[in-house]
Amino acid sequence: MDQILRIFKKDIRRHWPEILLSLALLALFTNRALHPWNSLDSYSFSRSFYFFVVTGEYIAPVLVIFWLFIVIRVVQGESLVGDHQWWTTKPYVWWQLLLAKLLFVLVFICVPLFHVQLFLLNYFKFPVLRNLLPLFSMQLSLLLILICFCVLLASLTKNLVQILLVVGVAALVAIAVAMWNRGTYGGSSVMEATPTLVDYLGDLLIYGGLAGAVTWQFARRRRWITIAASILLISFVAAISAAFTSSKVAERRYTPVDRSAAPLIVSVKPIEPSNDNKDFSRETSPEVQLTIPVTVSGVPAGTVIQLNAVKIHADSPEKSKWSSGWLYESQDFWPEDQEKTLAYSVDRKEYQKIRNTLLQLQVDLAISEYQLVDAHTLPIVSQRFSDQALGDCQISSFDNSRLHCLYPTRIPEYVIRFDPQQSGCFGDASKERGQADMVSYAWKSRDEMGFPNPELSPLSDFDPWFQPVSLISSRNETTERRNVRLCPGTVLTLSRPVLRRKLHIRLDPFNARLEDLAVTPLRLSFR
Amino acid sequence: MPSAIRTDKLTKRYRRITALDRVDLEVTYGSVYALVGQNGAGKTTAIKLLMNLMSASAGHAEILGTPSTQLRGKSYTEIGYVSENQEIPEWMKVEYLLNYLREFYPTWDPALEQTLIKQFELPLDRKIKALSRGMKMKLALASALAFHPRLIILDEPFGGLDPLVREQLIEGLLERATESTIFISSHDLAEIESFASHVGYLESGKLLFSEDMASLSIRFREVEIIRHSDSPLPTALPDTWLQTKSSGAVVRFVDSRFDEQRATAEIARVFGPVRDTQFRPLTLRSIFLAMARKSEEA
Repeated sequence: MDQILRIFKKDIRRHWPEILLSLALLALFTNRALHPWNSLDSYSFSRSFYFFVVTGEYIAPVLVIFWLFIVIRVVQGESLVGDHQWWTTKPYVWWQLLLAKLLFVLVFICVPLFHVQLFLLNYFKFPVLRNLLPLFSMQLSLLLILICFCVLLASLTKNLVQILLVVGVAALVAIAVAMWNRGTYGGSSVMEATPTLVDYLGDLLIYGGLAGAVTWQFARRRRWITIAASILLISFVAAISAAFTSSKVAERRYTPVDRSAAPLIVSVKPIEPSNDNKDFSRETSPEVQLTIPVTVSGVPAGTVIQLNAVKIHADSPEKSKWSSGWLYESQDFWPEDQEKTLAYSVDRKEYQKIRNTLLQLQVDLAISEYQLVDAHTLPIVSQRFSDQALGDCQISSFDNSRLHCLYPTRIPEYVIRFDPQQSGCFGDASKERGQADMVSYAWKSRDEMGFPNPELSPLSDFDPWFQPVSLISSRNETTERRNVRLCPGTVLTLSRPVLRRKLHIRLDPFNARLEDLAVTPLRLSFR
Repeated sequence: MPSAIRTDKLTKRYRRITALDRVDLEVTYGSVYALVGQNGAGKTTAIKLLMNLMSASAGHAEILGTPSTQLRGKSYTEIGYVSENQEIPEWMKVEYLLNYLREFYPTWDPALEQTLIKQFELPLDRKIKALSRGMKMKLALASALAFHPRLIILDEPFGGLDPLVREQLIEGLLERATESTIFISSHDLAEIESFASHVGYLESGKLLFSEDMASLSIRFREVEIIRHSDSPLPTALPDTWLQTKSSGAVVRFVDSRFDEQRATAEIARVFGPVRDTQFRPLTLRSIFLAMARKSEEA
């Protein structure tokens, strides 16, 4: 224990200017967090560098980068690399050295941040005790994701230049992997999932491996063994994850149901033959976008259906080689909805081969059904207002179809229904299509991944944005309509979405050629 | 009683280069052992292996009865180590460094610390960064001596230092020689000769000899022969004769296994009757040079 304190005191003596600067940055961060409405109001405004600076958006990243810098400096104060190190021939006990470094991080990073978080919660009158666990989770995330990784990096390098080189190389590798990964290329991604057990095991191995690598490097100072073991572990986890990740795993999470048992009725609208030239052989995009217009009905009141993925394929497997399988697609089906358009991408070369062939097509949907519970009304007032489920909110001063809200530690799950017919506060007439006097919804479901959550602020800001449902009557109309608008006196209906089930439904087959569904890409012409 | 340092076929390879080749070394308690050799002979590598600063490719080493690979933490409370290329924390002041180190060593002697500060004229209020190279070495040595280490390991401590600083360092070292075993690698053979009790000669990673200074000085002799004629040197000369040169009737060489009777008999066998023979003792420097040139010729 004496040695831990001795090294700790030595580090304070050496790094006091950095400690003061860190505390000053934390004070700036706190000051900015005390005025969250300024940044919220600029949210929908330009995200330019000017606003980045003026609104103080830079403080949090600068603070984190500075913390990482301090951690690197403190760890490299007793460098674990090379054979010229002075301390390695002195009676340092490796685990006491490691604990001294962690004590430094705890005292000068974690504890001040924790105090700021408690202060902010108290200042905004959010319950402190109830949010202690999420705060600890945030601190643990920060330690695991940033600090632990940074300590490992610092323990494997001799100076900042080496760290920058390592980070640069890692960034290049990440970019190369992202480019190589076809699933993330082209805008549409394949619905895939990893078994939960493999996910947990992977997380355990990565976080455990990270902590183990740091400990091993401090205990043995064998840089290349540590690096090799870390790379092997990451490769192993990546290989295991890749081996177990598939569309089938994701598909199994959705229970197949008959159309009669489905919580909504989706029917493909008649497909009209296309007269346009849909030969895309000269296009450069690797994919062709298909769209299928559908009618929607039967969504029960108090329910929202979330479309998660779509699969379009031919009725026989041998004719479905062009199909991309399950692709992620995000749409919401509300009780008032009447029509939607499903989007899907196929490989352009495959499309070219069969674009003229009349196929019997099948559409499969992966959907999540949410039950809306704990419904209550919330009248909007001209000032800021509070709601237990939504936190502290106000109407955005930049966009009156949005609310801006603050909630402790996370964004809550919510569904807000807004019926303009009953609010009586329409905006100015305009010729914009949609955005009419239709029922609008804003909603967010619960984040599945609550951890890790390496946030600094205990206040989550979010902006429920109201989007009108799509009525058949509104399609292709460009009549004079009024923009949806929230105003004092508007009564919102709030409820909480609870996931009931995940379903796989298949629509009635229909005949069409792919070129009847294809969307002609936009072209820019220069004269 | 185990040796202070013992190695058994200690080997270090860097890919295809063998920096240290099956070195068997034994340093008895209380001795002042000088490890000498040319640049790149493997002296620093040997010391780094002994101090567990790097791992051996093969073989084994023990320091104060502990395998060198297990040296860590408390083991270093008995070993004082000074190296010319050690990175002392330069941001510290001299006084702060000594205060900081003091608490790591249960046997730290504040009185001795004060004596060393005075002896080495260390400026307590100055940052280490601002010290000269000689002053840094004196500080390193003071911090390595102040806790009465059982073993002092010095890697090229005199390199690039002016004679006065060398003298101060040696004085400081000699005063501790009675209570510690000293293991030193150096090029400064003249200084080492004045206090080393044992010497080992390392050449291209191999330990060519390791023995006490007395027997070494007895074993090596410069031999000068005056022959009756200035005939050419015979081609077959004994292996133990190094640097054999002739100038007219005079022949000079270094006998590396000197024994007066045997040497006289061999001279008679090679040259027949000679007019005069003289045997002169060699300095360590001369022995080192003779060995180095022999290996260069080989």
